[in-house]
Amino acid sequence: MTTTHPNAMSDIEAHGHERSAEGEVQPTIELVTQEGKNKQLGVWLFIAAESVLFASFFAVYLALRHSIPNGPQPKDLFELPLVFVMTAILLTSSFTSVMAVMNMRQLKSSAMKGWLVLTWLLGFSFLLLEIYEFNHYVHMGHTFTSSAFGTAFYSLVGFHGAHVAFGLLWLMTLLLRNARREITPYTAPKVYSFSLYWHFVDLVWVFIFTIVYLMGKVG
Amino acid sequence: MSGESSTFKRPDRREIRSELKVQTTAFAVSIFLTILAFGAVVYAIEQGASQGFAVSFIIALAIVQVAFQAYIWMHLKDKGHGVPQLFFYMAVYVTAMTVIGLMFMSWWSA
Repeated sequence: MTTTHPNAMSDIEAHGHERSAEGEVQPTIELVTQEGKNKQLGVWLFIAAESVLFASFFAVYLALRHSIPNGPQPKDLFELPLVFVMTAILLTSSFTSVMAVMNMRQLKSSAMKGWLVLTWLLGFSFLLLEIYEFNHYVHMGHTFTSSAFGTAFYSLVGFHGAHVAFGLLWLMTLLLRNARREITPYTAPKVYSFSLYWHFVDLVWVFIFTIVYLMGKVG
Repeated sequence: MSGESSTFKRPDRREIRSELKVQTTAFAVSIFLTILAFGAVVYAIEQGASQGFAVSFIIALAIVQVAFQAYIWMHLKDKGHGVPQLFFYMAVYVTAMTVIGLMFMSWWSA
């Protein structure tokens, strides 16, 4: 490991990379090995593929959201305060994973783990609120089979919830497996891959709260 | 673990400070845009304002928020992210085509 050469200060090109005195670009810890670079590309390719999958669910939802022969309407179902709290929780958990990566790059192992634990707790509270929400809707007569709107709604929002649940399992495995490990070019890409995935789950939620919940109230 | 020579950059204090500022600003902007979107809908419901305008406004806010998060939180703005950027633009393109295409088909047949 090397620290930054003092003369390289003026040559900082961007966050993440800088040119050292020898003229070679120095990557941050998660991108220093070929394996780390491959993982980053792999996660991005996965994200691109997942976007198309979510796009299909969004498109189906938009096409079917007015098909409600029986059962409650979106206007009567959705409660904006609950959705706002869920959104704030997921946004904050995305931010805490950013903080984890920042601490990882500084090789601060316990700070990184602390932020990751916080990310997990926020993600878990989001999932609990979603389970409460779905349970509430089912009691109101809005089920997977009550209407085409119901099917499209639970497919889209439930699929996102499954992504949150998978992310929580992934993060827990990561924390347990690396509990006694230091931050190295081998362990850093694992944390970075998770953080990219978690941001993507948050990005999808931005469209869900806009298209499903907010548009359900006005559209 | 691969046996490559691992000389990686450990950010110095100044870089950490500026990066922290950028990331925290992105968080504040995200929260602000979210409040704005919810506020716009609550306002539209209470005042009976134009629904078309409210819908276009919140979709525009969502696009801005996603761009902000992808570039800053997911590091697309950083050097050496050419291929991830390509993947991202392709995903945005195919996503837009899927959603617009299917909505167009459902309107056409309605």
